[in-house]
Amino acid sequence: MRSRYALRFLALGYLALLLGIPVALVFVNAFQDGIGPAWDAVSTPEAQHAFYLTLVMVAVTVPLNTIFGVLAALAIVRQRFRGRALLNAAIDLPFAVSPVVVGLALLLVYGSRDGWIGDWLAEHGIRIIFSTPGMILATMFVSLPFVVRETIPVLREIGTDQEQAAATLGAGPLQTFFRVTLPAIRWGVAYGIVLTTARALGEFGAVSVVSGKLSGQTETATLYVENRFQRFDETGAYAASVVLALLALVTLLAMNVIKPKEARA
Amino acid sequence: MSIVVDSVSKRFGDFVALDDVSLEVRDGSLTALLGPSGGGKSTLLRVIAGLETPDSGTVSIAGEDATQEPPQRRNVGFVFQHYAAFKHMTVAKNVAFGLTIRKRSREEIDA
Repeated sequence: MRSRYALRFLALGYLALLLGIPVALVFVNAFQDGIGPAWDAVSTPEAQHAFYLTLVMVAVTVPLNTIFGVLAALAIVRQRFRGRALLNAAIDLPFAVSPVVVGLALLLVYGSRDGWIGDWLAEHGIRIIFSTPGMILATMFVSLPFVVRETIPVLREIGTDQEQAAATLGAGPLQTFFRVTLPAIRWGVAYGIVLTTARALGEFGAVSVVSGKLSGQTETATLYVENRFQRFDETGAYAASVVLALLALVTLLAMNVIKPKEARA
Repeated sequence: MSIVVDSVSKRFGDFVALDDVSLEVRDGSLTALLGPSGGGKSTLLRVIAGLETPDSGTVSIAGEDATQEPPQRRNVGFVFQHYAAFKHMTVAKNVAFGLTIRKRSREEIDA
C-alpha cells in the first residue's frame, strides 16, 4: 500500500519539478503586470507576423509530413525491398541529429554563397535560405519521424487479414486503403499529426539557423520569444510563450474533441 | 464456374507448402480438402483466391486463366480462419462492404 503511494508521489513530483512548476511560472510572469500589457505585447505587428509565420510552418509541414509518413510506414511494414532497413533507420535521423546541425546542413545545400546548389538557385532568383521556404524545409526535417513512428506499430498490429478480406470482396488497392487500412490506423496517424504539429510550433534551433531572424519577416513565434527575451522585454517573451503553449494545447484538445465523436459513430 | 488448379507449387523460404498440386472442382460440386495442419490446405485456398501467387502452375476459374488476376477481380468468396471483420465498421456495414465496393445501388445495399 505504502509503496503504491510512494510511486505516485515520485512520478507526480518528478513531473511537477521538471514540467509543472516551470511552465506555471511562465504563465505567472506573462501576467505579472496584468492582462493588458500581456495582450499589448502579443498584438504588435511583429508579434502577429511571428505567429502568422509559425502557423504557415504548421500548415505546410503537417500535411506533407503526414502523407509522406503514412506512405513510408506502409512501405516499411507491408513491403520487402532492398534498403528497407536503411529507410527505417534514416527516418530516425532527425531525432538523432541536433536541430542546429540540421540548420547548418540546409545552409550547405541551399546557401547562396557556398551552398551545393546555391549558385544555381541564386541565378534563377530562388531564395531558400533566409526566407520562408528554408524555414519550412527545416521544420519538415525536424518533424519528419512522428507520423511514421506512430503509424508503424498500428499497421503491424492490424495485420493484413482485413485488407485481404477486402480484396476478396472486390476492393482494389486504393479502395482497400481508404475504406479499410486508413480507418483502422487513424488514431496512430492522428497522434502522429498532433506530435508533428507540436514540434512544428515549437521548433527553434534549425529554423533559427536558416531564418536570418529578420523581425517581421523571417521571425517565427519561437524566434520572437528569444528576441524579446534578449531585449529584456520579459512580459513580451513570456506572453508570446503563453500563446505558443495555448496553440499546442488547442491541438491536443482538438484531437480529444474529435476522438469520442468518432468512437460513437 | 469450375475451378481448375494445374500443377501448382508454392514455397515459403525452404518450406514447400504446395508441391505440384492439381485439382479440378466441377461446376455445382462441393469439394472438401482434408489434411494435417501445415499440409498446405490454406495455402491452396489462398492461391485460388489470389491472396498468394504460385511459384509455378496455373489457376483457371470458369475456363479463364486467373493466375495473374488480383483477388478483387476473381470473384472468389473466402471465409478466413481468424475473423477478418472490419473493426471500425458496424455489423451492417461489414455485411454490406462487398456491395458498397462494387458500387451497387443504395436501395440494394439497404435491402
